[in-house]
Amino acid sequence: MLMEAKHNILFFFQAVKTSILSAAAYKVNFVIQTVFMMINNSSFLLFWSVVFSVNKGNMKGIVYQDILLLWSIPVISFGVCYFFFGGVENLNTFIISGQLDSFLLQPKNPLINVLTSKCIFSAFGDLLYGLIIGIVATNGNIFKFLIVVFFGTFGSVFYIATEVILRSLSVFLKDTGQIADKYKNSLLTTFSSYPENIFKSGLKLLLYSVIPVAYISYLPIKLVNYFQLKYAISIIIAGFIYLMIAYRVFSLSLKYYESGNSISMKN
Amino acid sequence: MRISFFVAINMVTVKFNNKNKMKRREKMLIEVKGLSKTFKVKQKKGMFQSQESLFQAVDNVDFQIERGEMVAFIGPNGAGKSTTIKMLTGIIQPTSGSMIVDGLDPSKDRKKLAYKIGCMFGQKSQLYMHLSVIDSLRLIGSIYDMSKKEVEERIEEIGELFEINHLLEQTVRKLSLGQRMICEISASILHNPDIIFLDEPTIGLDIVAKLRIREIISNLNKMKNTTVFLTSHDVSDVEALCSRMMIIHGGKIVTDTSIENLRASYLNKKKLVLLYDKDMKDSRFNHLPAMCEGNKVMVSVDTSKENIGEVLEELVSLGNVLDIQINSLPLEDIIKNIYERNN
Repeated sequence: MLMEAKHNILFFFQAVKTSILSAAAYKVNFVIQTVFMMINNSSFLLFWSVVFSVNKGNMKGIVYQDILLLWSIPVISFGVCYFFFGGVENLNTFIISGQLDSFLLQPKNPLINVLTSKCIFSAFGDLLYGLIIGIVATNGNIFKFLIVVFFGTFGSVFYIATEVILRSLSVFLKDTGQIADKYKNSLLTTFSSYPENIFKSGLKLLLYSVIPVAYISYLPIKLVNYFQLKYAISIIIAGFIYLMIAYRVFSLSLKYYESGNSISMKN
Repeated sequence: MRISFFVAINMVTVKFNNKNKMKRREKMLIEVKGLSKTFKVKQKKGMFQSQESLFQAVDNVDFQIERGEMVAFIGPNGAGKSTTIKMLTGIIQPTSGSMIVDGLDPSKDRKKLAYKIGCMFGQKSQLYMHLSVIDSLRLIGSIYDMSKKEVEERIEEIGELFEINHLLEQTVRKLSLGQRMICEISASILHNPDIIFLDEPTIGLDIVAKLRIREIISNLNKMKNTTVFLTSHDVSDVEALCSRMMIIHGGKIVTDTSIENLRASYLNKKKLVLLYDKDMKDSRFNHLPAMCEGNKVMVSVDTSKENIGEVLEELVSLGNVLDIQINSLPLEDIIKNIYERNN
């Protein structure tokens, strides 16, 4: 058991290293995509800075620093998820086309194998941007910055888990790739870039359960502003629950996986 | 005294039988019994409605393969070849039946089995397109829990054996198809498996690359006693590598015999090739199943039903014959014959 865990961890690092090596083979592409993503993210902060300058720095109790944290912690989560585990975006394609076969033939957990099979270059731009904004938002306070880094990184669990759940359902519902994309872009990313106060209680219930934005964005921001152990514990427990559900759904999908015969190559 | 003598004899017999069973088990690498796989297929009926039906891809298949054997598993498209391999390797779950591969049940022990088997699917790559061959092999080594030293030693060994040392630093996407296939085989045997499943290993290759791949597979079997389970639409692969052939059709095994036996059972089928000095298109061959290509005429004869001498006499009487060849039926035609018989 311990030996298997050790081998899985070693394999994980080797796979991440290989994935980054793959990215490094396209240096110019990598740098351009990183820079473009940082410029793209900056445009939102520019918009918010104009809004705050008009409203004299305070909007119903929301200050500019909260907006900076909104564009730091969830963005780090997004960056970690898609830079290190970008293969998750291909899970539905692997299932539909039968490419999951080559992962199932290997003696490692196929989920780790799938997740680390691809590195999305632009996500590095998100990660870097989130960290830089995190430094600005925490104003040199190392403890607060560490909270940003830790919960920013931990937030990737929610992105990974929801992606795995939705894309694994391709086994039963044909291709769920578009559903997963919509969920990620229109729900997770959109809701995590607005402050919690603007949402009413009904919607908030969703944001604390089915759309786990609260654990990616709202609670970590509260922790930075005023550290409370109960928030930290709730985020970690919610993360493990999401991971367990994702793992169960993925394992179930393997049971019903029917493979395919497309001609393909790993990336 | 007598009773104890019988007890002793009995004990010895049981021990002997158990030993025999153990030996048989050690010898048998794959044992498949009543293996079936059914897929659910949805058929559209109208705009929003669909009807579910069942498709039997593999139907009650039984076979055994001994350690070190080289077996061809062939059949037309959609016959159930890939589905069977996918069940034997643990990729998909069977609907019913049992199978033991190298002492393990693939449907329960997929991960453990992965250490003992190697797979190469001609249509699916296990190498990483953007990495060099050597980096791909290193990653695959870590997947099989090999230490750095073991991986490097094995890469060196395979590099020399397969003569691919010059390819190791090249990026996979820059390799030719033939070079990539050799590297794919290298990747699938890096962990020294007992059995290797090869699905169309020579697909799309030119004759030189094909011969090289066959040589590599054959050497692997000779040097390491690796069991080879091969599927290929290329009969020359089967002829060059395998001693035994299983033909699957409609999900059922329709033939399981040695290639020698198969040929022998078709010895009475001869193929006559005659070269005339004129175009034979307009000639009448009466009852003979003849095929004309200009001045070349090919006739299949079943010697158990017809006298080959009389057939030849009839053919010679049709014109001036420049050359005659009498061939046994090629393996390709034998297989075609079996496919057609089972259609």
